[in-house]
Amino acid sequence: MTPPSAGQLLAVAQLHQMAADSRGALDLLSEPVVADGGAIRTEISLDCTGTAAANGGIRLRRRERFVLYVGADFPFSIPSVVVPHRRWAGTPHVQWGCLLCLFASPSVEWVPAAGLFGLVERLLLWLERAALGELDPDDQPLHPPVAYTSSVHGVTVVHPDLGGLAPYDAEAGRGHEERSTSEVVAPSCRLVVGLTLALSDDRKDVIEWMNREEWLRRFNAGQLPPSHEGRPVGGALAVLCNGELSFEYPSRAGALVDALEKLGLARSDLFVAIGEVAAVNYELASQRAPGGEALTSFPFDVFVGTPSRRMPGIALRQHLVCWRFDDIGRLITENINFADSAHPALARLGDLAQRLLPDWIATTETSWVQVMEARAEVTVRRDADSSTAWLRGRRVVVLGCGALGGPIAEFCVRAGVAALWVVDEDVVTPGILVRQPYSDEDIGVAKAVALSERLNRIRDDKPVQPVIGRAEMVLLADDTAAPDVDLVIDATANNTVTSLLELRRATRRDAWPPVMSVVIGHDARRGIVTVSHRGSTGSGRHVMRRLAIAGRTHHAVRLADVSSDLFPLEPRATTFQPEPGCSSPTFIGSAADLAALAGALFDAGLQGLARGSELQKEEPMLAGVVRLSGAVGPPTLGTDWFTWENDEVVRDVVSGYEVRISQPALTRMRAEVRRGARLRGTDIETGGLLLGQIDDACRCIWIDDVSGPPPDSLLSAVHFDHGVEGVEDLITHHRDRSGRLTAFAGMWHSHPCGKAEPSKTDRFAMRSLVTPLEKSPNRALVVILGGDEHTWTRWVDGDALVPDIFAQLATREVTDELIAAPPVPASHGTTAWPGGWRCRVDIPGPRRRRRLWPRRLRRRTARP
Amino acid sequence: MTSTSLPDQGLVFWPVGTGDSTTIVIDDEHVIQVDLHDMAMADDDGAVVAAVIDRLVEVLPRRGDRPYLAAFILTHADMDHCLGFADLLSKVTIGELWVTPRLWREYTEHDLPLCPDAEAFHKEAKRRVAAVEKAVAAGERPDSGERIRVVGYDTDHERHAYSELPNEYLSYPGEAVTSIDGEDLSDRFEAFIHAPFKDDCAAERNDTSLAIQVTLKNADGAEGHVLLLGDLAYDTITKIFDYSEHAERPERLTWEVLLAPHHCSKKVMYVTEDDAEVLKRDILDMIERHQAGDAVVVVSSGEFPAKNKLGDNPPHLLARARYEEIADSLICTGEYPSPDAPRPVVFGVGPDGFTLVEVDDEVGETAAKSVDVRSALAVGGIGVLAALAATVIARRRRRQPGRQGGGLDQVRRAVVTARGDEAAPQQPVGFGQR
Repeated sequence: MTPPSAGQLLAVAQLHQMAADSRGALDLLSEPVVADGGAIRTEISLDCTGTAAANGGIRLRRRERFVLYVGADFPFSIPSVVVPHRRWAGTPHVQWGCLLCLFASPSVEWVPAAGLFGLVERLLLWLERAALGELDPDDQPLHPPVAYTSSVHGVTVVHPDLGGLAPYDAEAGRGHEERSTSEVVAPSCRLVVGLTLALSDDRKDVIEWMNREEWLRRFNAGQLPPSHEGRPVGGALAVLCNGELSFEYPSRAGALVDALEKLGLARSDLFVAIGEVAAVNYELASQRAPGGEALTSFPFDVFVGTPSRRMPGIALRQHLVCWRFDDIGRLITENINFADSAHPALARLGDLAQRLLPDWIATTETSWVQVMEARAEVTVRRDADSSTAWLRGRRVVVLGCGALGGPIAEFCVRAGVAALWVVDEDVVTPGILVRQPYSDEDIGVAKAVALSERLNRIRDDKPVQPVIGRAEMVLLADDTAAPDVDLVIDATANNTVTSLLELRRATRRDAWPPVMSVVIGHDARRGIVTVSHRGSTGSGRHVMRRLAIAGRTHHAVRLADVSSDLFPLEPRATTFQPEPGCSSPTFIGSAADLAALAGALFDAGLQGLARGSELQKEEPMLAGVVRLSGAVGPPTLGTDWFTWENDEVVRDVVSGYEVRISQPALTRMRAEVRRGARLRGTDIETGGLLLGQIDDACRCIWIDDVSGPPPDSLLSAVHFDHGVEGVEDLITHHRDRSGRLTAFAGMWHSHPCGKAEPSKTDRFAMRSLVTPLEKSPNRALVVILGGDEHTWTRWVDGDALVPDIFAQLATREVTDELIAAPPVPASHGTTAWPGGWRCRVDIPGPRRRRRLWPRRLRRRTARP
Repeated sequence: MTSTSLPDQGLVFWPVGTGDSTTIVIDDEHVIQVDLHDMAMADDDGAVVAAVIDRLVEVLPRRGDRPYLAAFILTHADMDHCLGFADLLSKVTIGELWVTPRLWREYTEHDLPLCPDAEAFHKEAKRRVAAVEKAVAAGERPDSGERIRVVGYDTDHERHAYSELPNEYLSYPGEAVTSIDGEDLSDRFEAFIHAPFKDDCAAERNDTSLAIQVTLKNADGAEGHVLLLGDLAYDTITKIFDYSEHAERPERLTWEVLLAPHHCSKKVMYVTEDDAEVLKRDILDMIERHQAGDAVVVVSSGEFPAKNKLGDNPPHLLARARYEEIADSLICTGEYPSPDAPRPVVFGVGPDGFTLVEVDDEVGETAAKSVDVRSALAVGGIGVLAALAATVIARRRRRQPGRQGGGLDQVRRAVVTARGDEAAPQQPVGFGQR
């Protein structure tokens, strides 16, 4: 006899230890001995008194016995636990009537270090739950019936839902969702046919369910091609029952047919249906064979469905097992239908088959094919509640198939997008293999093609289409329509693409799908994802610019690392040039870095997309910063989010440029208007500088900030002289601080309760603004805020978000007819106020009030 | 089932400490007592026990002016099975006495002491043998109160007076008895005799115990089965099961109630081999194989100790554990329903055989307080079984601390202890160079 292994000795020692410490609650009933197969067998007894019980649970005796089999490789194999009785046969998680299924997921639940201690603790938990009938609570899927499958038959994958084909209460007109497990219904079975493709000798896929009439109709109508995409087509019969068969499926075909008869399926009906399907299979096989003779026939399967599987709620679903006929059985079934043949020889053959079938059924053993469920109705997607749920069934474009686009495209395919276009103009080079998802054989192949071929192997429906070419030429060539997709992902990190996308999208932003852009830093330690919801002011370029400004201004500390990495003030002195020659400089980063960043950025982006509609309305533009560990910067976990409201968009009809006035800029203009009204009177005009950027590629002007009137300005109800005092310093300040993103963009002024349109004076001013003098701008935006009394007052009082706005880019090139400067109204000279914080200029009298200040201050300091 | 719906037929196991006292109610006119252990109010261990004789005198049917017991069956002559017999005999008319030949052997082998009640029993047995022989000689049948049935073999059978009795008064293993005290009760009662065996006649007294299966049948045709195996141990009980299985009469082994032999002695399933106690699975499997209905093992003993020491007398915790593995439940008379307030354990005949009758407190006490049990019996409002079930026994004040939590929790604690997860030194430990 083999001596026990070290592991088995350990198990024995652990058992003795527990028994000794248990005061009789755990008895060792037999000394462990090495049994057949090298496992040691021992029997223990547990004190189960006082265990809470409930109806439907197993009934525990005061003590229960268990036989343990501990393998020689313990603790690296899980001991099996068997009960020496059949009292629990038929209860969930008791297989073969006596083998306890203690671990649902052994790989994570079995801890070798815990050894038999862990096993006994698990057994205790199992017993407690079993006694309460909680091993299979209603909110969890039932442990499916066990059919012990044979690997020689390969696998069968079931794709389509059975849904309403299941027989539950069909006569009562109720769907299968409505039947609860507690109801007792008359047994009934339904026979349906599964249209099956043989993908290989080892794999068959059911791709469609249909009733028997439809199966025969299609065959007779010639609508059942013998092959589909080169794969042999056949049928499998499915018997769908509304009653439980048993926890284990019968091992003899006769017992199975008996059991089905009890569930309401007469064997004669079963045999007829078997004949129907098998005969068609034979015919299809004949059509496939070169000489019309079926050389290799289609394996014959019968699915047996029982209402065993419950999804959350009370819906019952069919659990399927698949019974594979052996060759003799198949040959018999293929010939049954000949019994009705007019041809005497065939009829005799059919007659023979009909008589043989019951005998074959009675004597043969059932052999089960492993069923792999892909039915949505019984499976829960492993990514069910993850961020990628947003993608399911959507149509997506990924621009760029590189280090970010490649993985992201794969995420989309796995997440279940309905269609995916991958766009790239490059081919695969050897250098990118270290971090992009391509293989050696792809070298020289267009990335889009190589990627789509690989991704289409993931899913049988092949959802990926390659687009070879520059993204801007393909997707963005058409400026008349928004792309007909649900999401555009820009993973090109290409300024041209980004800008063109910004330009195209601006013309019909309400029609455009959401846009997501991803970029990463120079050393692949951090990245940014931007999300622009449908209708938001800008997309990647816009949001990235906002983030860059935030990193220089309000969030200088929080975004210090991002600013220096992704928005450096000076171009990096050394760029990374991986290959000799004129290859494009790139960043340094490994496949691991890229996988981490691509996953994190995409996940963050999807979360941004899925954010509530409320937020979409308020702040529809988002940027998320993702940092890998080791990245210098704030130790933020997860995604560092920044969000923006939509800008106020005004179109300059002359230049065609779009003016995007940020909400802070608009708010500051109102603050200035309010201040002026308090200081100088509600009818006094005011104004100041516009700070921002003019982008000729995107044909847009961003207004990020504004100032009030310089101190040397003169303001009155009829005129506004914009001064120059301190203006240059202010602009320099903004320009330097923002890394040149925000500079002088123009001037604004108000027409309180007046029209938001330029007066003659204003037109003249626009010309003089761009007068070619040294250091003066050659173009400038002029913004005029106005509105009738109602509109104006509501805006000033905060009851409305915007006044009437006029915007026009004044350029030197505009050959407006030379107009003379209109005369300044005389009242301006006598009633005008100075800008800044100064009070009204006393013209011509002395400025007495200014002198009061020192005196007042002195008086205040003299107080006790 | 509550006492208000008590059946007419059933079994009563009395809380009498470690000893046997089983009352079989065949119907309201016929009651059998198997063994007796009637003590004063408390036994040596301070456990509260039932005053069986007093209660029987109150409740038994009457013939003439005396309470009437149809039969008294003594499995063997140990004190814990016959204590109080002399008292019972003086207060109650015992129709028929069942006795094993061993009793006579006890007298011929003088080194085996008998307790006074056993001597009284033997004296009464001898009196009845003489009375029966006299009646038979006169061509008459003995009167109730004179009858005797000698059960089992003895190799020196011929040496004793009872050997002269006609076969009608002798029974042997393998036979079924359906008449008691001269009355044919075969429509409701049957006792199948399993032991004593001839081969065991000279063995230890315990091994010569009477072993019977008693079947009660009710008017609906339902049958209850109880195995009363006295103080037998592994060898003899195995023989009983082997014989009946071999003889293809498994129905004679059926039980819903098993009185644990020898007050739950581990010698039923543990045998000493090479100085080691070895568990005998075969006997447990056999016992389990023949159970029916809600199988209950009744242990007639005082409360189980928390722990057994080597050489302890029964009840044995080990044996209890083994019974608990094979039966649906185990009831110890000294602990039912609780150790400080025991009550008779009552089974009635129901559709699934003998079924435990749960007597709820209120009904039980009302019945017990009824001033005149006889009058209650007379008007038919309450049967003998119900009256016996309603016996109230004084509560004990002391209560031993109970075990914390259920059995599985105890196993769980054992696992934690064995694993050493929560181990910490529990006493100071000295170290030092010298």
